[in-house]
Amino acid sequence: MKRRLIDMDEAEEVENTLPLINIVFLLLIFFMIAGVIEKSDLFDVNPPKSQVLTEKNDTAVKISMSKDDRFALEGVEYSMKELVAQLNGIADKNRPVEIKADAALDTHKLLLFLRELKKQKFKQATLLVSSKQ
Amino acid sequence: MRFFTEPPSKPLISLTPLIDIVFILLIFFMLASSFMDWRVIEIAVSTASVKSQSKDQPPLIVKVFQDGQVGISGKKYSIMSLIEQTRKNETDIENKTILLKPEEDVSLQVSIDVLQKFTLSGMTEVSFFIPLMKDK
Repeated sequence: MKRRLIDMDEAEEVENTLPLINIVFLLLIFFMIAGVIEKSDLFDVNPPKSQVLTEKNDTAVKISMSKDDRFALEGVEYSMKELVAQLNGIADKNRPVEIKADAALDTHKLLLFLRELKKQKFKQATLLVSSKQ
Repeated sequence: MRFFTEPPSKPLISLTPLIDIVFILLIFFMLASSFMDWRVIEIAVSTASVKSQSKDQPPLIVKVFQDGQVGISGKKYSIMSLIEQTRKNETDIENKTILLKPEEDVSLQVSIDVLQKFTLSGMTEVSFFIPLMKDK
């Protein structure tokens, strides 16, 4: 008799957890499908917001620029001199350069960097922005 | 007549480890997923100097100040008043090349806002003035 009562309790417990498992599964599927897993930045960069936008190019050379003069190329941090040397080593100058710069960065610093890109014969540069609603 | 029903059999695999793993996966995807809508703005890399433009259509060089105002020929305007002012003087303003020349310490957000206002006003040829190379 006692054994039977325990079994019933266990069965009820399993039944109670089923809706929870269902919801957790649904949430898991939602995050797996809707989210995009991205490599996080080495340092904090909050790009500017804009309404004038075009689509991203996945083949671009990715550069990050923080407001406190930190630079990264493809997820590896470099000083400005090292970054210029690394860019010099890129053979295909037709690849677009995608710059993820902080909204608080001095525009002059970005323009000086664009001048360097021009010097290295890169043909296209894009600035990463988040869409403004 | 007695009927014997089989007692409900216990599931062979316990649900608890499954729930644990699903929870861990859920937490991983919640933390690692990004829902940001990243887009790009194209920037002309060519050195936009006055010399490189044709003599018929010299570019309009517009200074950008920290407060988001713009300047032309030493005068300060709001963007909308500058566009109106230029429309009065120029007939083909939409096709005119506008070069934005931000002052020192103008944040990128301010410059992008100015660029966006010009573009949304129907001007297609708006880009940044890239300083010319100094010979060492």
